[in-house]
Amino acid sequence: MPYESGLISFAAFACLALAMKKHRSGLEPLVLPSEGVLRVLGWALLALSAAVAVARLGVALGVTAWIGQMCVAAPLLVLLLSWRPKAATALAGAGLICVPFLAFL
Amino acid sequence: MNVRQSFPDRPAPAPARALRQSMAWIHAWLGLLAGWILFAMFLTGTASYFRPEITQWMQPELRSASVPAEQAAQAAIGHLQATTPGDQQWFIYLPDDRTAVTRVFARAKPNPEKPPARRPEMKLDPATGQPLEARDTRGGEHFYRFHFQLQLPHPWGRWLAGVCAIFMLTAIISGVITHKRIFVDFFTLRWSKGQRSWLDAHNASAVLALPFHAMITYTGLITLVAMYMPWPVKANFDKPDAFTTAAYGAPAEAKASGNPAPLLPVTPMIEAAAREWNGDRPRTIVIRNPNDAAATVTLLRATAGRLNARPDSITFSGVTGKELSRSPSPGPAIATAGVMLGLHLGHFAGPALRWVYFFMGLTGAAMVGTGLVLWVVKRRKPNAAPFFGLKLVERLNIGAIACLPTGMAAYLLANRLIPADLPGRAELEVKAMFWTWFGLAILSLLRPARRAWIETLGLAAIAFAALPVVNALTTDRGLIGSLRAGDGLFAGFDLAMLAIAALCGFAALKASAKPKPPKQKAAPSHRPSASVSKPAKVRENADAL
Repeated sequence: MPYESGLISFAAFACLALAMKKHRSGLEPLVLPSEGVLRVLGWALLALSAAVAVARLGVALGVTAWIGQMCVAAPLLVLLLSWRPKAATALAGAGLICVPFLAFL
Repeated sequence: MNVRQSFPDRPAPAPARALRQSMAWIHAWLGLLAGWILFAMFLTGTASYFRPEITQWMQPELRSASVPAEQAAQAAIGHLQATTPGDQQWFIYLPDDRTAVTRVFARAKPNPEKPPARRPEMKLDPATGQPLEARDTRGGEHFYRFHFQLQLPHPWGRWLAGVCAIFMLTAIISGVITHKRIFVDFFTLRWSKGQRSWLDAHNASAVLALPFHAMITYTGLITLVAMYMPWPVKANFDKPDAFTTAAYGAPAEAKASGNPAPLLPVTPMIEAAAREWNGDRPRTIVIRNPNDAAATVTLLRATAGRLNARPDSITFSGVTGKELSRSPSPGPAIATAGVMLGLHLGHFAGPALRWVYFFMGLTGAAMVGTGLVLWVVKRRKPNAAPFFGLKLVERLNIGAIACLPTGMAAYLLANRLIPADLPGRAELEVKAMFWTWFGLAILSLLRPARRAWIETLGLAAIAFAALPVVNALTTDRGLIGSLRAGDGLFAGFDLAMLAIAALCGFAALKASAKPKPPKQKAAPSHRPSASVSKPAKVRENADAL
């Protein structure tokens, strides 16, 4: 299933959200990296999710799939972040771990 | 400025603020006027991403069998040769992994004395070519057609849909200009805080899926642009046919010669076309003047897996098997139009991307729905009786947002409950949807608005939850059986209905929760920092909408 791109962008948006002061509370006992690190990581992951989609599906379908999966990943993250911020963060990490396995499916 | 003249005490707003305010006005009113129809267009359009699957579910008598294109084509031609060999044209729509049957449509030769009766489309078994009997239904096609024709006589439905799409595009652009905290509030969603929550939900559903909303609205308009703006074609071409020829290549309109000649098998032609198309198979076959010396066979390429929704085609002679013509490689304009149509329809998407499309469509419906509710919440005064306009909008909101899903469920329920052999049952199914939808909207007037929200949403939950039950009772393809047999389509459909029922139930539950007192600190919050935002800023942002 070509959902790696969506999982990576979910994690990317999680990083970008946690790089903002107002989304950083309520996550104890988690220790977050600094805002700057998360911001850079977020953008890097977003670029990676684009690269993965293009590598998997070619330029035309890849870019379409990348934008589409971002459009679903971001609302899902925001829903989860507003309800269970810790679970959202954990899920972002778990999703990233699943990516290499998904790539072989 | 007029504002200054009529309110001499008020200072003229700064230009940026004035622009934002005028955009907010456009956003609120155009969004409201088109909102109810747009919500219905989004919801039925979203369902249409599963058009063939809905059709399959609505004909449970048929089971899909995967058959190679060559075999299905030859079997269908065998049936047509046996029944109507002297026709003018045969259309054969081959099955793919999403459709269970071969569909054929045969057009008889024109007869000036007695025009032949229009024959219905037929469903054939892909493997044997034998006609299949299944309950008469419009299937997923109904949601798809309603999505842009709105069940109105042609061309009014398409015009109304186009006007709404233009309003939508305007609302998107004005909404982006109005929303000054796009990046600050990018990930912000605060629950149970009245107006602020609705604004958050509207912003989140709109901003986070903005590329989809802009794309789907614009490409939807472009799809029917030749109808909305026919003048460029009229100015440059004498006849519409001349434009079609210039854009898509000359149609193979050879006259019948009158000399009989046997029709060659199509399998070698399909193989020849597949070699040209990187192994792609045809989706549609058009045979003109079969069994005549001038017979032609046109193969139209399947579009799955490619963004461009305009199929290439190759035409062969039906007698010699030689290639006669092929569609010209499209110029940039035609290719762009084809890709836009493809992006809108999403036929290129495999199962994974199809679900992505489905969820993006739901965010669209959520954006329109939350916008409609926000309009009311923002204008409601806590200690004053609602004025007429507010009551009207709220009632229309209930009718559109809470009653339409029940109508759609009723359409599917009717498919199982109306006897399979009843004449005119396809129309009855459609009627079931509209009677339920509008009937429920009228009945909900009898209840106070808050109760009406809770009860109509609860009813939608019950209706969707009833679908798997009714399916299990009326067919032999219930959820447990489908799961056991590995029937992904039927199991997936039932599970999706249960998920939608849960969503409607959750909405009813949320609507029935007692509204919290509007005090700032009263509501407990997971994230204290979110509630310490500057009230003035929030106020200003809320005013903008």
